[in-house]
Amino acid sequence: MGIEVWHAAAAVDQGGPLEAACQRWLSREEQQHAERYRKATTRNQFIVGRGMARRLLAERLNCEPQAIRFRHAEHGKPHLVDEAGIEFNVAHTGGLVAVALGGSEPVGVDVECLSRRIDLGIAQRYFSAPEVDYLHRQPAAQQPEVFLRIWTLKESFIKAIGTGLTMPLDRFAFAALDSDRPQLSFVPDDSEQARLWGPAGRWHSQLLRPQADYLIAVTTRRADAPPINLQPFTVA
Amino acid sequence: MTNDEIREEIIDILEDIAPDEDLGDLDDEKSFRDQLELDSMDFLDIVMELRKRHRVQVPEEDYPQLASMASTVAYLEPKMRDIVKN
Repeated sequence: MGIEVWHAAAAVDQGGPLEAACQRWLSREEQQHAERYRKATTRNQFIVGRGMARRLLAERLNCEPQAIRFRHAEHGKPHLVDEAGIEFNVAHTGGLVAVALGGSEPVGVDVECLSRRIDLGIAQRYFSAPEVDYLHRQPAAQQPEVFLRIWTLKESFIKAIGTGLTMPLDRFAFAALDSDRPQLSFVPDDSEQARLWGPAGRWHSQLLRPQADYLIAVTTRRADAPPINLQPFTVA
Repeated sequence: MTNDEIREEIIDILEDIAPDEDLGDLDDEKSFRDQLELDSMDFLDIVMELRKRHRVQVPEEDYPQLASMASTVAYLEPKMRDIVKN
């Protein structure tokens, strides 16, 4: 089975039909959680992310979206309470939400807007040496987009393994960064992280462009690279 | 710095990173990410600002302690108590 990556635009202010549908699928706790966000854009992203995940998981499990139950691992990654051999992950950024659905192996997804404000100093301080070298070899005008390619890939990996930023970002690197399927390696390849999460060759990543201004990276662990299917999420 | 001064400093950094957010009624006990539009990159920006402004180093394994304002102030207090606020 391949990886499905669904995407939808969340409203930046007043929610529309998508937000209304997604809100109905949430649990009472999630609806209360959504109210904690003070900005409509953040609230809508949460509602759409959780709603989409519930709807997509419910279709796979042949149940109602409200019947889906989540548990959260140590660093906050949501999983299904009932082990059903389905791993999933949710990402959002200003205006766009993405949900990746896989099989029983870990999957992580990240989305970024290519026009977001960035500080290239983050690369210097946190990325691995080969990634910093690669970034600096690019023309200055292209460096922000290259930075975001590397960032989304790195985020998708740490979200797949569920460690958050406690996994040092300089302990793994992506190569073949000008392709749509960059390859992960561990730096160095005999590190504690490599022993814990390797072998690197079993991790497969792909970069996707759901819209001109957005970039999605998805990473999963498989024996062979799975097909990755990008599709828009809509409500009837 | 006192705890109140450390809190003010964090608010000042957050205002730079998330200029659209109204931080006036931030709940110190709840996580930043449950209240604000902050993602992982913004979080690293905060850590970098602490280093640039005050030479405070926060190792990766301590990041979970920066989840909420209350836990951040408690974590930073021993590292910043000897810094004199400008």
